[in-house]
Amino acid sequence: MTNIPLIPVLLLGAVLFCLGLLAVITKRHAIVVLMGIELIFNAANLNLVAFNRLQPDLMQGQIFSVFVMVIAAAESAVALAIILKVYQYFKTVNLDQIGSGTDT
Amino acid sequence: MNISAPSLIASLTDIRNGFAFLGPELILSFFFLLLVGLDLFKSRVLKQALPFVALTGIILGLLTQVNFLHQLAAKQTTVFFTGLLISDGLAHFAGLLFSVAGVLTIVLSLLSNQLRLKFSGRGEYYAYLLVLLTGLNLMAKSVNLLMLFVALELVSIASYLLTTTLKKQQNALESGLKYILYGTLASGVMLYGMSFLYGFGGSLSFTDAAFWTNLSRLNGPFFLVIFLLTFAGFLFKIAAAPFHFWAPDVYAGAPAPIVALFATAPKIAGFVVIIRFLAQIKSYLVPALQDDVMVLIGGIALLTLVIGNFTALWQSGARRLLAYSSVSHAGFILAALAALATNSTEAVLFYLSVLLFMNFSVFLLVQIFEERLQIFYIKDLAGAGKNYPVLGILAIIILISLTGLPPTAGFTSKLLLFTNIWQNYSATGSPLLLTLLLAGILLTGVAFFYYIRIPYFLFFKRNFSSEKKVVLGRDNIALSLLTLPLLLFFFQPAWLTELIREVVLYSK
Repeated sequence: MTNIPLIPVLLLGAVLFCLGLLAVITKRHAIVVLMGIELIFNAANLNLVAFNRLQPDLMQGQIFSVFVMVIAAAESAVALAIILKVYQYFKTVNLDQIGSGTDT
Repeated sequence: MNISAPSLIASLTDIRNGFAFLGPELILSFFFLLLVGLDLFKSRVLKQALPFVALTGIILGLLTQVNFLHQLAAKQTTVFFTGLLISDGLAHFAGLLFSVAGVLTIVLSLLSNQLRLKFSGRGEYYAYLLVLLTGLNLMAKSVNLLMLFVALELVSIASYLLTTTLKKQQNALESGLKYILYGTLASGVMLYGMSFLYGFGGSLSFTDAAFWTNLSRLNGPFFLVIFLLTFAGFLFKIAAAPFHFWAPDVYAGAPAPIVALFATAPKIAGFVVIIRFLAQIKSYLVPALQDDVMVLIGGIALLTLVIGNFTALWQSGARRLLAYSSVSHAGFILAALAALATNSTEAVLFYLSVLLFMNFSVFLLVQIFEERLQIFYIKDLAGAGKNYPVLGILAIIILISLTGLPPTAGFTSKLLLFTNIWQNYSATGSPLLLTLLLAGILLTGVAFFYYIRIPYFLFFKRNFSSEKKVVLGRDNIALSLLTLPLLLFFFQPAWLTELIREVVLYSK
């Protein structure tokens, strides 16, 4: 097994996290925001798998990442169902055009 | 990798023994499956029985919690399921509060016009409620990052679905969408923080001394960033300041019983997790980092208090007002926890128990105003107190309690909380605690102004349009029964404080 150094993987994770956060902050399309959030989950997954090398016998990081994938899938299913309902009601999924504008 | 047979057998035995401590969760899961099964039949009688089936499940869970809390002195804290979960006083007391919250949610739903009879999502509604309660129980028991994440997501997903129950209501979908986007973002950020905690702590179990000793080697700012990322998820659940944006929208869009539940139960679970983390930090982390954590929590508490109380002043809708009031309550509790002292747990648990009754009674009040009297804004309340004197008087009691004035339990809980902060200030002399104490007392004064607007409109404003009166027999009785604990715990706080003292002793 070739050894991949830890630091570049963590940096890649950090880049993914920042990209995800940037997408959430700047984009107004609900599905693109959801994609940004998935990037954040993937950044965390990458970290978990990378850190697993420090204690390879326990496999905790690997198992955690499998759990994360399953839960992220469940969450996006619910999110997409809600987005679909929102689209049927408002005929748009642009976050700025949804709602009564009573923000405080 | 090889696992030896004896160690495998030991783990399996441990898992089997662990089921003894999982009573409420098992009962709730069983009733969840039962509800899903019963919902498949088309019989009308069966459909109408669904709320009562859910109620039976929650009450059975409640009885097992009471059974655990009985004769606490003889019991010991146990870590079970190979170190994933813990059974201690804190977990079971929180479980008791969750069950009470569940029962009250069903009572409020049965009193609601929209949720009562012919609403189509009834089966799922009660099923999600049971899932939510299961998740909360697991969250209060977990001592492992993986378990904590799974439990928290169980709570979150059920919450998103419950928010959008009334699809016809325009706000419901809007608030549901905002809730799920903010919510998944908060869990993603929390997960990213947890991955670093795992990497640098070298373990997933956050009650290990070794976990915190490893983390102590990190330098200050880096640790604080990881810590804040991880806490984002918990602060989101308790609606504390930088992560409170969902609260006003969700409170405006979700059904009133569900809002009452959101304002109490996930908040209690979030605080239990925070208490567990802070207790470990106090015991095992190096003092230099402890001070940083203290400043961070204190800062968040101060921000939450200021934002919660001042934004509430500008609200015209009752639900948005209560959302910011709920944010400010989270601030008060965080202010007590900022001392990182072990003695604050009792005051915090008392505050949370009283908050449970206050929130359910105030949201029943909101529900009565909205559904029975068609009043949605505070200015429309004008004169309602004269037409409905019983409702008006109960409203005054509830709002006095939310402000924290005698003779209500709200006063007792604030008194205990502020006394606790003062004690910790005298012990440490930390200027941060003094600031928090003064800010807390001053902002209670600010809170008085926005709460008092409601009784002012109820009784002192004239309303010339005379509408025909609605009979409120059942609602008044339910509301008085919910208000009773608020007076009871003021005159007899010892009933609750005795229990909490035992619970805290059992938690160590």
